[in-house]
Amino acid sequence: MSQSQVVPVRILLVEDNAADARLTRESLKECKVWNELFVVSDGEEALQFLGRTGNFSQMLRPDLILLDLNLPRKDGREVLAEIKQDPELRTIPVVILTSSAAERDIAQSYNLHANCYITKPIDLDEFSEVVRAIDGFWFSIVKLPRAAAAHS
Amino acid sequence: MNKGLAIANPPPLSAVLSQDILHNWKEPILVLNAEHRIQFANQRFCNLTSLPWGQLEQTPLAEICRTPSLPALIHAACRSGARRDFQVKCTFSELGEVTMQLHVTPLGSHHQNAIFLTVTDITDGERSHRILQRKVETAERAELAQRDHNDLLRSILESTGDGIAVLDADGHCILWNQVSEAMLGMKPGDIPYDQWPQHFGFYLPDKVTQFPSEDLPLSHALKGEIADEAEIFVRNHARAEGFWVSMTARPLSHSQDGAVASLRDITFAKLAADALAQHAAEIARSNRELEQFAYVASHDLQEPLRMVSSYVQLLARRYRGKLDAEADEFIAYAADGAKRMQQLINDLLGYSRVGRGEAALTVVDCEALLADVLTGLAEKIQSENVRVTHDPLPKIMGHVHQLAQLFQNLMDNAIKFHSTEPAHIHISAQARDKKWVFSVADNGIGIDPEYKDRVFVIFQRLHTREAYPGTGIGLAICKKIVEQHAGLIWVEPQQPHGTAVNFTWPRD
Repeated sequence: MSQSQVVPVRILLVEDNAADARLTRESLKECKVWNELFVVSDGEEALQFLGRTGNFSQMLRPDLILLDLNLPRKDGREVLAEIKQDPELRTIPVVILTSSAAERDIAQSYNLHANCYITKPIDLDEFSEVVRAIDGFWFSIVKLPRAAAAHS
Repeated sequence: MNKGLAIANPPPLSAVLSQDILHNWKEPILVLNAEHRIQFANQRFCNLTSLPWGQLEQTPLAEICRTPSLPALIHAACRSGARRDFQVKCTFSELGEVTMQLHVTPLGSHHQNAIFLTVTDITDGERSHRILQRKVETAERAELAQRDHNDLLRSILESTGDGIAVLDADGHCILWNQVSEAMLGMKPGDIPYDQWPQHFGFYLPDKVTQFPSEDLPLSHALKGEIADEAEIFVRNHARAEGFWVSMTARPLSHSQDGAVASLRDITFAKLAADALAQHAAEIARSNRELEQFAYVASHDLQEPLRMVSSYVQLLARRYRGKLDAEADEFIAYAADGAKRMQQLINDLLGYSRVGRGEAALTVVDCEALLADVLTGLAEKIQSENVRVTHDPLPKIMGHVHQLAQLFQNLMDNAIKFHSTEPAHIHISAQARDKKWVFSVADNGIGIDPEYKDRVFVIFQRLHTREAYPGTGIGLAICKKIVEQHAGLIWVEPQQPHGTAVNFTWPRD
């Protein structure tokens, strides 16, 4: 907790809809926890970001991933599968944040070891509430492994 | 003749001879006087009448024969002066009725108008002739009857629209009608039945594989079995485009006698059935597509709408009171419109989801179901002070979720559209034939009969949103749920006011 006050928590948002990304950004702005949001717009970019390759070589490992399922090129399910198969990345909590409420998507996501699944609320107030809850839960309530420990 | 011999009144030889000859003549002979009394009768006549000469002599012939018309007949015959024949039926005491042919020869005035008669008993001849005639007539009648029968059979055979073929025990066609000939493309006479598929072009429904002769109903019928209908595709030179035939066959009374097959052209029925099935499949596909469309559309519409409503809300949140009063008003309308559209899309999604990926039917206890629904509505029921009563409700087969939605929507409406009186809702179910008729009746504002159908159309509302909130999806969803279970749903006005929504549901 004291650490999070010193350096911002890093959140990777994988979202192809700029308006949606902006909404998440706006909602996060209203949160208590100091956060830094990185946005990529497709699955390929997300994996590059996480692998620190290409344009993302200078990027740091995120503390939380907000992943949309329906993405251009590599879609969210594939990204999720690759993250959870990677020993270095699998400890990063992945929150599926999508407009789909389909049972199939929910089941599939948990089968691929998503840490939680959230359907984007339609109403802005509710959406803000969800973002605040994500922030509060993962950065104030839950204890996460430190990056170094996760690597070993 | 020797004149020297002195014999007293010896009769002349000729007279003796003729007397003798007359007596022994093989046919009865008579001589009558002018009054038709018997002057002479030979032995044959005595035999014929079974009477001795003593009783015949001087007796009128008509009396002997018991034939009153006889004198007139004889008289008529004599009038011409020449020999005449006629037939007459006479009745003798011993013999009974005898038919006689009388040959009448008037002997003329120099013989005191005596009459010579020979008699031929033609009774036997006539009888045998009659018998023969009767036999001939009977035979003719039988032949006629047979011919009639054949004609009748032929008429029947030719009057039916079906092809009919009769086979003997060896499987050769011995009788057939024109229809079958037209169907087969030739006379079936010489073709043994097991070569029919090959000769007449019988195929399996794939239209390519030759129909196995052992599977022909005829084959079964010839074995004495009653054969089921077989559908055969027939294509031969007479009907190159091919057509469908349904063949049935029955053994004749004894299997050794052969079999009769009937061939019915079912092309039209089959085409109609195919067209119908295709039509049904198309409708089903179109319905699926429509539902898919509604689902996808409403689902995909949500994304941009979420953006619109979210950013309008963001605008409202960040800039309320910072722009001018008009801006606040406009933003408020935009936010309200977005919210309503959201509701519509949600409802459309809900509507298109009815029956999507539902599990199998289960037994649903409507009593328990209603209790659950009422629990969910407890707050509304209490705040609106609604009295809810119900008859005993049955257990039915259905989807719990759908049935819950059905009751929920009906209860919702009944509560929402209450009148100024204290609201009372009564739920009942009556068994009628193979159905349950459910009824949710209220004493609310009622539905104008003019709109009794419109209320079931999606998004049709009878009141302003301000008076009664809602998108107008409730009864449309009810209708969809009921119709998916082969039921009907309708509204019925209640007295003095109010509405009953009735729907049917299958029993068992």
